[in-house]
Amino acid sequence: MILLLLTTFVSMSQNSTSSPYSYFSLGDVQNVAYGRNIAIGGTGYGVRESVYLNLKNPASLTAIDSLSMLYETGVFIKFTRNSTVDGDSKYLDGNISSFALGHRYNSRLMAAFGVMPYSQIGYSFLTSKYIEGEVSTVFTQWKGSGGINKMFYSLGLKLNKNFSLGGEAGFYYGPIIKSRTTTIAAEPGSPTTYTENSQYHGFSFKGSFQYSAKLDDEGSRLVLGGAYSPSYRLSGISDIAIYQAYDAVSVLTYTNEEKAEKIYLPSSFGGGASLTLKGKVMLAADYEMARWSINPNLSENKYVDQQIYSIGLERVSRNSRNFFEKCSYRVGARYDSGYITYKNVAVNDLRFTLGMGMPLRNSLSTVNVAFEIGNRGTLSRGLMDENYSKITLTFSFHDYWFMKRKID
Amino acid sequence: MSMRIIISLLLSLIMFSSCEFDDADQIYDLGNDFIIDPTRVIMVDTLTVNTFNTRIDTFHTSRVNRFLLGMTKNNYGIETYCESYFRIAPDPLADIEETSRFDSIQLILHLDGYHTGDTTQIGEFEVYRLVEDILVDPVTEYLYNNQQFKVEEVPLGRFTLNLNRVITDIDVPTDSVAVSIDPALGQELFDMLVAEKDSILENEIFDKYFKGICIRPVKGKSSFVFGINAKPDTLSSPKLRLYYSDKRYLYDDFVDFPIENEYRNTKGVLSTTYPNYNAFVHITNNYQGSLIESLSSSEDILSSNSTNNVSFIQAGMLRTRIEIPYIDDFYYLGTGTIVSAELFMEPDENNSLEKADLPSQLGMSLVDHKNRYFSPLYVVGSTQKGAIGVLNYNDEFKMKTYYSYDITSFVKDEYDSNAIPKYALMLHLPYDYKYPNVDQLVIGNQASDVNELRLKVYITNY
Repeated sequence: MILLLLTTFVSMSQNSTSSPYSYFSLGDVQNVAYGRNIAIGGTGYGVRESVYLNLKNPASLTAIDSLSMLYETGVFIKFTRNSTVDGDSKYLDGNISSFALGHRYNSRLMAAFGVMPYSQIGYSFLTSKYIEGEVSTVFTQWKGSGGINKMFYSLGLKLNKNFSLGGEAGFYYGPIIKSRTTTIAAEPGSPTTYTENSQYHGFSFKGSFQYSAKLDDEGSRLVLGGAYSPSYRLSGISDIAIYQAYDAVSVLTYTNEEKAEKIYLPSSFGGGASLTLKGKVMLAADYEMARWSINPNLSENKYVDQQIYSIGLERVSRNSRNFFEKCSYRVGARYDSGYITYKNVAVNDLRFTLGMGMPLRNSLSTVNVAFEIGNRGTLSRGLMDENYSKITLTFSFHDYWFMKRKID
Repeated sequence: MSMRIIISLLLSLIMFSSCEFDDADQIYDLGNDFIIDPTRVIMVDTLTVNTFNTRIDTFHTSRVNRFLLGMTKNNYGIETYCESYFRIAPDPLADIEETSRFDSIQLILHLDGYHTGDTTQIGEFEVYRLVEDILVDPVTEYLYNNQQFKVEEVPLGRFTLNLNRVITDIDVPTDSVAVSIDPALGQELFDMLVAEKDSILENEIFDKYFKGICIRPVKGKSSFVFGINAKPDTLSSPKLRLYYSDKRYLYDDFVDFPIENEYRNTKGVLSTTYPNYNAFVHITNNYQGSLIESLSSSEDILSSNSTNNVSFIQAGMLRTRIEIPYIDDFYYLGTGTIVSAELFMEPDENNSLEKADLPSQLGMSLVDHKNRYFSPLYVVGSTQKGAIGVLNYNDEFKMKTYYSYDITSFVKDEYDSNAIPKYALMLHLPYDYKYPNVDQLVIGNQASDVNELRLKVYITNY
């Protein structure tokens, strides 16, 4: 377990995305979902399930009533094709997606903690412009890596049969490493490299509720949920270094330690509902709004408030001898309006999701496969169109499994 | 599914995914408007570059392979004068029968092709016998350009030279000169060779008897400077050649007194280490009436603004000092780094060299406020000597011929240091360039209408 945890810490610092859009702010914010929620379009505010951790709404933790421990971890592989008017490039990235552990204090109080990537940065692209004072080209190569991880502790408190409250405290930390190398076409042997290595940290808090109403005795249920998180500031220290190359020799010409550019995590609220029909099909929908516009505008681009709509459908797993009958099948869609506009165009993201939950024999543990296919950006105004597909494997182990191992 | 399979599947997937697959090195061009690049890249070529004339008073001119002779005056009134000194030695194998008779004596000099000045005129030169010993500096063991040694009042011989058609007294190849020498000296040497053979063939006894030769231009009768092969112990080495004939056995022959090869150094040891240890070229410039008349010592500087917007470079004699006083003004653009700094300069039409003869490289070094050498100019971050002015020769377009220098390290150091500039650049002909010579290079300054002098600096600002 500790080994897994360590692996998670180590590998989370690796590149998990390849997108020039991740240059701005915190990069690609991974606020979609984790585990099973991925496959149902990322919905989760109103989703309540006894065998999964639904981290989107901590109040849902109280649904896990019969278990004393639940462990989830996942890995993903992402294929990206970035297209500009000039051509395409393809990338393959992969990393651990998250790690979470749920445990129970008593029948009313359930907790979960873990680490997950909050944002990911990974890009390498070129821009060009003219020198001031001469008709000559300058190329700048931009490179970035790192990302912000979130360590969290969530609590779910069951107030009564229908109503639960949830809370999550988060600690954000991680590096954002950016560099840009400027090469004057007339002096190709003497590029100047500016590197900025920022270590960010910050805290956040999220409060949530969930209301669940039984509609009939055949398993029909309506769940409503919502969450609110105020704005928090991420701060940190940036190590700045400028290297000037003179043919084969690179000279460090400037170093400084500065306060990193402040980034505000947006205040956000969201709500959602799910409707389970006769214990067979679950339909879920979420709306989420994040006030990114609290951040001061960048010189070239603008922060805008982000809105996310998601819907999902699940065919709930059934008690059967047939393996495929026992699996749950999921489908969903998600629209994200984006939080930065480039050249006054919002770079929105639309994805469709498909997934399957496979129960492990003699246990409540499951292996969940989620497949996402999506598009971000646009080719117009010289921007970039990003098509991606991503496979995530999430393992939800529960205490039954651990118990069994003890008997072994 | 078995638990074990699941566990191993999970672990292998974690391992697998921990490896990076991303091809982050793939680069694609997003043009210039995807994001605003805060890096400013600026080219500045309007920075003030001041040039100054400086002179050198003494430099060593012995141990060289070329003698210079003549006098020339450039278009700016600088007069250059050259004369050469050397010692000769007897041929130890000389063996003359008592029946022989002296015929004539000649000084044979081979031209090495070097010349500068007005070669359309015929030059007149004289050969003198030294009355004073040539003595090297006891410390440095060198002879210097400003040294002269006393000669007899009457020359041993004289010759004229038309470089367009080399005039000779007898039929020898046209790249050499045979100067008729006073037969009285010839007879004397001949008699000694016959009568006192053993003693005259001793170098030291001979040196006391014949202290050496000086060749110099006749005043006002020379408009060019030319080079003579001075290498000892070769077929084209300078030599006195004594002709004689034998009536009894009916033959003509000669004996040579070539330029000295073996010498006794200051420690009294016989040596052949340095060629022409006791031979040198006397080179002086007469600045009287010239643009740089007021330069009085090697510590002096004279701005090119007061010398017709030109400055002079001459091997050993004149160098151009370059100051770039306002490098720190780059800070008005913000903090940044110097990417490169290149100095361009055009030689003036009036320099003594044909374009094709311009040295392919010019030397540059750092000097202090008194024009004293401080260090070479290194490549930034390296001990490799950097600044080499490369001649860019282009007759095709606008006859642009210029020298370009990479002086990045100098500009960078001045930019990085907060102190008042301590060193300046000194431009000179390379030390190994056809040395010795009296070639002059005339460089225009920034105020010049015809000759460009420009410093081009690339700076990046963050």
